[in-house]
Amino acid sequence: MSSTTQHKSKKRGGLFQIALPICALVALGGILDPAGMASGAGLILSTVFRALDWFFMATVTTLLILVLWLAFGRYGNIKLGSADDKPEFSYPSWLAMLFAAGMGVGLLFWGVAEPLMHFSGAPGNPPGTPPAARQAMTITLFHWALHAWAVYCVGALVLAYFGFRKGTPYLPGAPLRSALSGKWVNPTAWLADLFAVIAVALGVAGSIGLGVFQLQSGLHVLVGTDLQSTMMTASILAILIICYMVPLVTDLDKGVKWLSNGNMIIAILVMLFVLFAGPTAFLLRTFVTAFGDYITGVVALSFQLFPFTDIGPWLQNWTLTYWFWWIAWAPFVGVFIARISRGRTIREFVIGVLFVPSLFSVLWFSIFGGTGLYEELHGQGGIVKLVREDVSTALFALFDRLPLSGVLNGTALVLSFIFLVTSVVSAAYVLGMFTSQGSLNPSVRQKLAWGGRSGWLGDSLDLIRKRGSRSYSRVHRSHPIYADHSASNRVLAYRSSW
Amino acid sequence: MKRSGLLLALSLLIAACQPSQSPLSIGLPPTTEQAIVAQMARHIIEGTTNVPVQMVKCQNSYDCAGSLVAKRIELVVDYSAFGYMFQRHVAPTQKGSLAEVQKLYEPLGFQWLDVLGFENGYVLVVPETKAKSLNLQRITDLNKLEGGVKITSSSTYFRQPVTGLPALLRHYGVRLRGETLLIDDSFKRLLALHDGLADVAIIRATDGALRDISLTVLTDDLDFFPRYDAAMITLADTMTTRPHVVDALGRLHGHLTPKTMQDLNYQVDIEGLPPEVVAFRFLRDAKIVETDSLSVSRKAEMIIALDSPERFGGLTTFVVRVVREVFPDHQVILSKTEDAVEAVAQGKARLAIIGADRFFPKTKDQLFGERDNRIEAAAVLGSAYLHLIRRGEQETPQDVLSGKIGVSVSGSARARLASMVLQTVHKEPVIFAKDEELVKKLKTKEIDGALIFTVSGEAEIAQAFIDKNLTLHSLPKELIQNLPPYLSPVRIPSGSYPGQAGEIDTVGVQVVLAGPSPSFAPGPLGGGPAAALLTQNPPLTVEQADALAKAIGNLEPPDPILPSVWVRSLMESQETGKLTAGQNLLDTTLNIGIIVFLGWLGVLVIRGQNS
Repeated sequence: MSSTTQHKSKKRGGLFQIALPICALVALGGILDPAGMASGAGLILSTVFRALDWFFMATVTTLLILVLWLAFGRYGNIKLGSADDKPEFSYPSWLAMLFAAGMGVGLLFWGVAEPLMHFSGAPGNPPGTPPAARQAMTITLFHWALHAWAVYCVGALVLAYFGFRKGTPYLPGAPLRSALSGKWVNPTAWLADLFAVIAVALGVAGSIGLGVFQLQSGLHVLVGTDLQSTMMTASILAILIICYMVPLVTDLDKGVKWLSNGNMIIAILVMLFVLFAGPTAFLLRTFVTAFGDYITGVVALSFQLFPFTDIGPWLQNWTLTYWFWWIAWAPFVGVFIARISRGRTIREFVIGVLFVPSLFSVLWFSIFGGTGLYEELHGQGGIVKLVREDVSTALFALFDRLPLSGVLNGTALVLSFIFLVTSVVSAAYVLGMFTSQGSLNPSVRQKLAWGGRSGWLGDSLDLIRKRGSRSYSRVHRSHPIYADHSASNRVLAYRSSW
Repeated sequence: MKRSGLLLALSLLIAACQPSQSPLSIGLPPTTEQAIVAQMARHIIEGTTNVPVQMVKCQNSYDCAGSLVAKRIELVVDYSAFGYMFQRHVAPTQKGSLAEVQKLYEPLGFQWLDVLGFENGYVLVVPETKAKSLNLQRITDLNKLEGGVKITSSSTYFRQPVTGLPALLRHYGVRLRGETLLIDDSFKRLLALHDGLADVAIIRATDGALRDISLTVLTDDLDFFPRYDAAMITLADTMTTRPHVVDALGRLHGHLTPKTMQDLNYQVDIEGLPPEVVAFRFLRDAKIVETDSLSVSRKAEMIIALDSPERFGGLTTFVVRVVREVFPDHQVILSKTEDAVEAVAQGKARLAIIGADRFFPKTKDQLFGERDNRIEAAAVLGSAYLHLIRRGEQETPQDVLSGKIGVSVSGSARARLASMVLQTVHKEPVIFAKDEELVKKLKTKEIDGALIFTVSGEAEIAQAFIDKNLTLHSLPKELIQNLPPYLSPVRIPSGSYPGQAGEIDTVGVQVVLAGPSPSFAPGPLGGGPAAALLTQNPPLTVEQADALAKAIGNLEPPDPILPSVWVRSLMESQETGKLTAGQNLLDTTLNIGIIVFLGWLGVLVIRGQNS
């Protein structure tokens, strides 16, 4: 907080007491009635997407335009901080931390899977063809590059601007309180905080669920554990919870930071290994082509909702779902980006936050997705089939085609686990901060509570996937019909009489 | 000085760039077993030595032998009898043992390695039912078949000199009926056997299809077949220049038995795994090699669940093969489980072999239940009929279900169904046993009747009627009419069993391949990251279900009361995509809300600028 700015805020309590039970209820619902919870959530999502797809697309595209305008317009030279504030971190350190903020289990999970899923099923080109491969990369980058980072950028920029120049706490509602006046401001700001807390809590639960699936797949590949075992899922979740709860109660912040940086370096090394051990020339070619296709196609894609065709549902299920996720994650990622960006100008900030991670995403997907596409187009194939059966096996299926596959698979497992742990620790910290009115040192009790809730929510997502409960419908008895089954029974008779 | 230093550096660089060893070529014949063992050799050599390996495909054993002689390959897997006949063009003396061919080949510069330890010769097989009814136990018994014998064989064995099919027929004096049916796929050969297209099939003793199928292997009573000891053959030069390779191959010694090879062949021929993967997994599990440096392509698994107590005999092998034809990129695995329906519903299996009754779990009254919509029928395998069998008494009792009645093995769906039928007439089974035991107990009068759900013509029951001790009875009409809807009335035609004069009215239950139902799948199924995360076990498409039905050879639709892929597709095709009035209203309301919100934001921005 700027020492020259006094921030007057009307303290509003009760966020922790309300947000935590809401998340607990969602978790409980998911555990007790996974099918019902999933159906309900699916119904709400599909209704909202169907009715408001234009709003989501327009919002995210507007945010991208907004940050570009802010950066390259007359506001670009505004410093995020006071006039004499210098950047806290050097350029290389700052960029490295931006990478770390953006890299997570999602890139590992979807790096191979998403390009291949689009290659085999996106509308517009016959599946499995070279044009489909090219389109797959463009769609993937559309989801993971500029638009995603624009959402994070706006979130972080608002927090940074108001935090460093107006002295507001790092709360989503704080800028509203600072910039606007009126009776409605505080309740609205409080609601903004509440929604941000719930969004981050559910978002990190999604990461936990996703990460647990990938870990279970990885263990199956590496050591042959049961892919479908609920006990195994529960065990992985339990170990994960223990591992991320420990740093929450002890002073292991530095250790977590060290783990996170180390993980990022290992991830980059794995990426470089895949680049050089795989079809290097093809991958670099893919990088250049994908970059070009993306840059030339992003404007059209940003406004495309396909109102005259029947692929609107596909767009809702993929693109809009991602926009939803990025918006949900924006408060979490935004806090970190804001905190490390004191002293930067808006122009520097936007260029760093928007373009550098986006370029890295292009490189990441070109290498991992490109290797998968190479295998399908020129290699043994078969990865798409595996991915269609179970998305979580994509990365491991790819590593099987490369040298030192055992080492790669083991490394991927470790990476996933550490990414998960560091993400949850960070999320618990952020949630604790949000629910203690922006305190930079939330209590252990609050961090533990959020850590525990995240575990519950992740567990409920796993259960939804396992489909634990039954559903019946009564069938009226029909009139018996005499039938001669002799012809149709031939098959069974012959086969069974062996 | 500088120049010589440069030259030295260059020569070192060139030397460093040279490969350390020339690759060792291994012949890869097309037969499953030879391919598996060849891949084992590759994995062992690559995993334990620094010798690179190159696999060279051969058309057949002769081609491989020729390549070995021409030194295009250094190692190949073959069988002792072939080796003998290839050299001598006569039937092997001393029965073609490995020791014999080793002596034969040594002066020629080849070494037969004694590392494998199993034999895989040719055998003649007939269906068990036929064997029992005609008392076929030996090859000489084939002469009992009137009009000659129809044989199905591989083209390799048909044309094999010295000990092939013509020599076999001459040796035993067997007359052929019609042309020999040449089918190279051993499983399809067995299908032809059971479709009645042939009387006898000639296959290899370790064929994977033999694992689960009940066939009678005819004894070679006139001692025709030589020994086919499996072995690796290598060049004498290789023994000298690469002794460590030969030593490494010795790791296999003692690990391969006929049973082991049959299991491995099953994984390739029936389940569809590539030979290199089967070889790799075997070596890994037997700890013959470390696995870090080995990379193998992974296949998606298609698991078919089957309730543990059920017995479907050869049907399971047939189903695995059929599913593999429809899903060629999958490894198909049969998994016996406590509850096949739960396995599919929980995503542990993609398909289940179940009776239609499994869609209707019991309720308190044990007669009717709500339908389980977590699964849907994808293809019909056939029907199992309820056989009411009693001793061959003079008069049919008034109550055909009187006395002590036994049913199938406890815990099996067949036992549950039969018990349910008895409960309809307020009776309980007195005994639960295997079908053959029930038949025995009927004959020894321990029970008065047996209620067995099985397919028409099942071997044990057929045998019982052959003995003329038992009779099949119709179920009472009132009972048939009061049974649950998944038990359909059927009529077993007369003559289905030996001595069966009249038609038998009973009930049947469809046996189906069932897959997961989309009605239970949460979230958006149109794709997307959320769906990809939440939907692990996707339901079958109509195209896949159609392909399964065609591959099975049974286009009978599932019972209309079952949820099925076709009913779902019909309902989906009727969805027009038009929104209902309620949905339209909801969408409009949401949009009005958003527009108002945007308007309010606009007002805030304007106010902010003005102030």
